[in-house]
Amino acid sequence: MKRYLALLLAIILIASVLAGCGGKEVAPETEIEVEEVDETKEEPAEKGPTVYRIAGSKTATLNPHIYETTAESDTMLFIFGNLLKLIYDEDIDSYKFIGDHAEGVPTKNEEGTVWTFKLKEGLKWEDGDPLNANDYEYSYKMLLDPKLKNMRGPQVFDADVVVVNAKKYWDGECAWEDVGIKALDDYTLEITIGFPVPEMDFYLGFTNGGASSPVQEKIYEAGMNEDRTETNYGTSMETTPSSGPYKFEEWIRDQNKIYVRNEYSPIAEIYTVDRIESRVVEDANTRVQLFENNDIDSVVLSGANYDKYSEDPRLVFSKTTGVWSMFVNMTSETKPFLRDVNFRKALFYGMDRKAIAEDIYKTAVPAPYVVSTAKIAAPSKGLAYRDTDIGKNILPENNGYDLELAKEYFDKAYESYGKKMELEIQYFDNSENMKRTAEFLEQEYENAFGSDRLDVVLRGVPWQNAYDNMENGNYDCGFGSWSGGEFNPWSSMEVYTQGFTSKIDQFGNDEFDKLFERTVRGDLIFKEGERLQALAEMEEMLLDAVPFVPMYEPQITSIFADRVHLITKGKYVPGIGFATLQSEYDPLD
Amino acid sequence: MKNNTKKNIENKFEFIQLDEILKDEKFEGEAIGFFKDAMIRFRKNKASVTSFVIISFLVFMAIFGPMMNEYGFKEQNLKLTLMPARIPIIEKMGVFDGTKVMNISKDNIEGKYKGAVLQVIKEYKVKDREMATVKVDMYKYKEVKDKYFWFGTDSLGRDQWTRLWRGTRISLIISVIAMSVNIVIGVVYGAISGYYGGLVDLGMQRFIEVLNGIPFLVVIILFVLYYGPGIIPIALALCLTGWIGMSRMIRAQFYKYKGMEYVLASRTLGATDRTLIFRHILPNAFGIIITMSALAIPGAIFQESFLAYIGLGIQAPEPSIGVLLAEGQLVLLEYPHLTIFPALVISILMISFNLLGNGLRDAFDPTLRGQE
Repeated sequence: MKRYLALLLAIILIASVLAGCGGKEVAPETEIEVEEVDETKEEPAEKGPTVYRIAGSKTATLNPHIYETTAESDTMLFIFGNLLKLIYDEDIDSYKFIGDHAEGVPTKNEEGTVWTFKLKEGLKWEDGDPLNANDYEYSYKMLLDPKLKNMRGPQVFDADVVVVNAKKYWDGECAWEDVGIKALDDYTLEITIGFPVPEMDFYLGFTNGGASSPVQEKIYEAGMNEDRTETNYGTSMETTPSSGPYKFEEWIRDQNKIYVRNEYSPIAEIYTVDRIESRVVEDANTRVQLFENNDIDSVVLSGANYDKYSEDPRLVFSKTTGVWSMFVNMTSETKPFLRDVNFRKALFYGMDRKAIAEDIYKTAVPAPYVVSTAKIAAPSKGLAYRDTDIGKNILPENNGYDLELAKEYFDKAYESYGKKMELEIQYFDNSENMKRTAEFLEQEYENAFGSDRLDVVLRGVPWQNAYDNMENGNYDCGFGSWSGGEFNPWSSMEVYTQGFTSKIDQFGNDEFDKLFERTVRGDLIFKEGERLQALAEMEEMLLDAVPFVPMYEPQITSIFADRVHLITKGKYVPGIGFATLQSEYDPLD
Repeated sequence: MKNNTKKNIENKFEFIQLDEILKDEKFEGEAIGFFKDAMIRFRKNKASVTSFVIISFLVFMAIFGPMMNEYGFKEQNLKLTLMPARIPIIEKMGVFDGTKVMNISKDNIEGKYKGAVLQVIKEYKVKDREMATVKVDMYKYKEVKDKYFWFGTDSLGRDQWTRLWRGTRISLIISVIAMSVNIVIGVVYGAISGYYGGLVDLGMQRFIEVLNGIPFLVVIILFVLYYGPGIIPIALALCLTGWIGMSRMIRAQFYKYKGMEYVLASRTLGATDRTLIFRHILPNAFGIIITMSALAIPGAIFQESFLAYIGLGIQAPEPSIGVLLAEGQLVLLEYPHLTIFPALVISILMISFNLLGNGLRDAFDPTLRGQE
């Protein structure tokens, strides 16, 4: 259920791009992602509280049902509990699920459609009130409430895990009793889903603080307006009760947040950090300066700030789930040459991805593929799709840069079109790196194919408009990317199916849609080998039709202060990040 | 007594010139016309003259600067990105010598930076790795010792000198277009409004007030968003409300002159409205027009830079001073050369135009006529 198939995409890039202001309107969140999840370390705390200091972005609401930004979800990881928790396990050097409010992972019936969580006894809210399965049922009822129409509601029915009748209840077509979420008694929660799914997908729907975290009924109800269409839950310290490992000590809106341990959390003890101090700093350069003054412990580096630290041993890199691509309007009415697959292939092979990734973005990886290296295809082994043989086999040589081949394709396309082509590339007007990429491509394409035959013009567009243009097919070429869950590369393919609502490409292939259905909801779900094969087939279909030209995969570069001893030794662990809250810290001076 | 007095007077005064014919003295020198007089006063204002020279120089550079070296304004070289400035001769003095202070791993002094490290400033340790702050000759490190990027290069390895002058050119073009359109609209609008007065004037002035009431930035931003940020759209965006000030000045001039006798005389002789407006009254406003233009140019340049700064600059890869500044400030701390040079040019340009405008205003001020 936890899936960010939203247009969050822009954000990561802009984070890795903007060294300064200019990008504020794009997204309140931008970077972070790094201080993700954590725990499992026991640590004697004689030397005073262990403090971890970070800089984050503003948060508008901490109501888990309606949050929107990364900054908000990051906060929720600290203060909201859930049934399960994803943690870093030092022994296996990888991620591991443990029970948070639940005793452990759920059991399922034979068909795999009814899952049962056993909750721990004696769970408490921050104020000491008991927390049990009924709170969970209430929370889901509110999440799906047809009147509230919470923004996160669809996570329960429009996702990898589809809870029975959740959609109907959301639409107001059935009673709550019919929905497949039931508290059988105080300590048992039963979830009935529409079709069986792999364990991993199911677990992820109930892991970490977020939309599926419980809300405290008395506060949720107290904040409700008369029509029951809105609640002020999560808008202040008083209305944000903690059920997670940390609780607020202070929250001054748009200034800072201080978290301390929540002694009622069943997993609080496995953290090493006692106190998290987070201040709101939106500007990337200011953050770097805070870091240099030793006021915060970690910071994301991009652009010139990266250059400055490029040889610093403290650098760590985290992967992202999106591959940035140049989308091509393959059904263009006004420019028929865009419909010619030869032309699109020429664009594909004429792109020097290495230069874009290494010389412009510095820390990115050239990516002539669709599925990012961060996507895990065999969750049991933690194996990434790109590391499998199938995933490797479809990669073209030299990162797909082959000028001779590109020219061949272009000649064919030019022959059938017969006159000079004018290609417009739109870029986000607030992203310097994207502008540079566009300028670079203009030069590369015109040099490769001859400026007498191809004229590339550039157009800066605000990123929201850019995506609108792409959705409406009102563009020639434009940059974009989809991010998605790390553990289910198949469901991320939804964005290329014909039925997808905010589709930004013009690709349409019935066979592709069929494969998608089979791998996500159909017969292939549990056939690991065939499912993998199907993923490769889908990727190949996309690469053959070239509805977009994949460019690069961003990596987020962070630096941690000397006092932070990362438990993962700087290795990026899928789903976890660097486990900063499980790491050890030198005391502050 | 009476006789005495007269006699006394006659005694004391002598009649001279009784034989001469008295004539007016002939004028020495030529008559000084309005513009000539203005010119004289302008020339006496040293600041204005200096400004004029500087502006001429900058215009000259805007035209010929990009041709002074072998690099094109959009010629990229990803291997030579963000090179520091290096200027022949001056480099020997230790500034603009193509060096940069960097934090590198100590092994690399003898490794990848071999021979290019000029000076080790500081050594320190980070997490078991020996680091050093060193001064690196970037041109040597990149093995392009024969090249000179006078103002350095930007993040795509394009020559900043070429881009800066090209950008100056574009900024000037935009401001001149904006200014010309503003003058034409402003003069015509103000003239009609001022000359006819009455209901026409009332209507036209209320229209201006309504137009002025709309927040100017919103209008400009929407305009640029809709038409896309090219030279012409940006210039026109600056004209949307930019002509209002000019039209008001002209209107005031018309109110002042339209009741004068010479206008009445001309009208009596049958001059048409058009003749009266453009032939008889408008020339009185030339001084104001010239002054306003000189002052409008820096305003337009500034607004163009402002638009570029908020992301509505001219379309890539074309530079303008604003675009260069917007790009430069992002990396100000690490690569100051990308900000310093455009900032210098725009500052000098603004000051010069303002001083020139002030000088022109004084020069054309009729009340100062004949004064020092």
